Amino acid sequence: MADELVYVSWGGTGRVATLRSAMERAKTEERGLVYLAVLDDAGFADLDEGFLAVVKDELQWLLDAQLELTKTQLNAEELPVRVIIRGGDVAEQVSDVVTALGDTEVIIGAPVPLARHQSIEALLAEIQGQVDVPVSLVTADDAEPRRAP
Amino acid sequence: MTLVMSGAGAAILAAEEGEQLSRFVAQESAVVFLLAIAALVTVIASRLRFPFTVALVVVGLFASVLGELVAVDISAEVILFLLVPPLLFEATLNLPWPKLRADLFPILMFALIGTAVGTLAIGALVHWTVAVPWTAAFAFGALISATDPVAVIALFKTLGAPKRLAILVEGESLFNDAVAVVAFGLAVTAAAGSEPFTLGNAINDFLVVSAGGLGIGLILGYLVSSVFLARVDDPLVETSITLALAYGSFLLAEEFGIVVGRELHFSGILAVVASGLMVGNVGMHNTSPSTRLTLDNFWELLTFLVNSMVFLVIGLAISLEDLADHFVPVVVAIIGVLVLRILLIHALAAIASWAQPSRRVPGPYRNVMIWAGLRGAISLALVLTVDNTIFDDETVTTLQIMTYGVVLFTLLIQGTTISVFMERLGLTSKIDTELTQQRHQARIYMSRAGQSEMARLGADGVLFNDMATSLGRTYQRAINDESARLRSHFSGHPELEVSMLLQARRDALVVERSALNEILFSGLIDSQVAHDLTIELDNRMAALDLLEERWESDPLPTFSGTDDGESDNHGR
Repeated sequence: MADELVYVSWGGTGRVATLRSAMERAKTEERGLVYLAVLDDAGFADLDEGFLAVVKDELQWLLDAQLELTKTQLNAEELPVRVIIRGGDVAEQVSDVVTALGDTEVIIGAPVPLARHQSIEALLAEIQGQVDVPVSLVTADDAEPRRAP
Repeated sequence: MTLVMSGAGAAILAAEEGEQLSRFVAQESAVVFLLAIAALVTVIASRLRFPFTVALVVVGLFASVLGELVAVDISAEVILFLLVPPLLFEATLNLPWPKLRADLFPILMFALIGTAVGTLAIGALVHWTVAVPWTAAFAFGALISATDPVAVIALFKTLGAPKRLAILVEGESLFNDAVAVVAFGLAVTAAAGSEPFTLGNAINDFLVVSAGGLGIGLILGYLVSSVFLARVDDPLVETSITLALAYGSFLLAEEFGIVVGRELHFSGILAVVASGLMVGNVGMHNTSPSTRLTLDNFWELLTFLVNSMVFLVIGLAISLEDLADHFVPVVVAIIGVLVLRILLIHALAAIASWAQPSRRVPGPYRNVMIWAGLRGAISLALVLTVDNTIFDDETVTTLQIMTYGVVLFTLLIQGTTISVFMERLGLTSKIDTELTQQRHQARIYMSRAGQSEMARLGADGVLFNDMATSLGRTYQRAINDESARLRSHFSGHPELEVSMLLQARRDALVVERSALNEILFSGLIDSQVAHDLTIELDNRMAALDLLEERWESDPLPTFSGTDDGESDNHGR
């Protein structure tokens, strides 16, 4: 079994619930979680390099805080988690990170913004076509009711 | 040469001077009186959660019975040259260029094509139904195309509307003002018959006037930003320079002919817009923290004063009797303006979304943009420049009253109902859930304070110990109940967690800035270091805003290439 799950997101308010769901799965399966955040071309290609670097910095801060919070809520303080932030095409970035990690599994957090793809299935198919590891979708409905803050 | 003045001449001069002085005192008294009214109305409107600009118009409508007390000079020159430049400058000062640039295509579509088509369509409608000459009808079509969303933008902030929506509405307004003024000028020039009207000439004039205005604004804005704001470290001097820039860029563009010695003028509005954008996006990063604070406070105060005068003046200028006497033309104008805006916004948004799928304008945004198309100061100022040297008296009266009618309708009806409209479209739901969350948190905080006080009174012996303990436990039960309700609310709205994180990060950055100011003022760090770190903090704050808009917002709906974007989602 792979050591780390790769949770992929490129924004959207529903991701709080989906992240919790992915983290619960990582906890249950005793694996680490890599949060791959992609600032995709549809939303961020217009930024200049300098400002994009600041945006990535701030996103890192927000995601670190959110992972810490979710770990506390799930009583999973020992769960190894880390954030990777990339810019560009989502499918390409997933493929790149998965290649670097080797044996892993990809979880797509939905609802997700769909700027380029006709449907979530089309997106999954494209990612699956580029990587040689299992790719699955986790939705807000999969998430357990959250615990006390 | 020695000038000898006769006794009679001196007396006449003295009498004229006396008359001028008394006119001046009367004007000053009226302005002071109106500002006092504005302050009072603003306080009341704020308590009633009513848009203060709309309240001022209503008060202005009835304040005319006060006669001389409120008899201010409401000429077109006063509005255009004195009141409009600071309003435009302040609006652009707070408009982040990255966000404006991201939506520049739809904004320019609305401002350029929307205003041009609006001028022609409203002109044709008014010509055929109200029977005014073609040139007068086109002049009306142009002046009534200038939107003025001041009342709406203030409401957007209160309601927590999506920032992109505010940028679209405000951006359209800034640029369509300029287009409307140029189109209006062309119609009036054609009416005066001084130059034959051709489409080629019109487009040429428009390009020259616009490019000249933008050029002057950018050059002056850059000079002020890179020379004064970057090298002078004196909040008062730097603030004065920005005031001079706002008026100076407008005047230089409008009166450029005087500088070059021939008949030539550019768009003063575009000059102010360009200079404001330059200062807001370049100059503000070059200033010290104290200057930024002074600038923010100064422009906020000036905008409040000017807006107060503008909206009171709009109310004062409008006569309800005249509106009743011209009922049919007024109704035609209102319906025409509304219907055309519905058609134009939907059509242009669909084209813009097709051309730029990543920046599509969602359906609810389009509907709000339609209803947010209020008319105000620019329309009023332009119609007041129309006199009987250009059109006959009846035409002038008809144009003015139709303008008053449209302005009044948009302010009173659209301005007061847009919040309900936005709530129905789900564009303010975030605020409701946040308010509920805050209510729970406040109750917990209050109960904790009460519980602490009981413990203190018990410890001090003011209350019997068992009584203090019992009251403390009662408070604890209330806290537990409220915490359970807060947890339940969080379960239903997971997005609140993100919004709390964002707010916490913002608060932290504000505190970081205060800490930076403290060590700067205490002399622990060099001003250059403080300056660099301030820019870094500004960028972080801007990045946070951008992430809130593009990363944390609701997802775009699934769409195909042919979808026109009709959706209930308001995405990135």
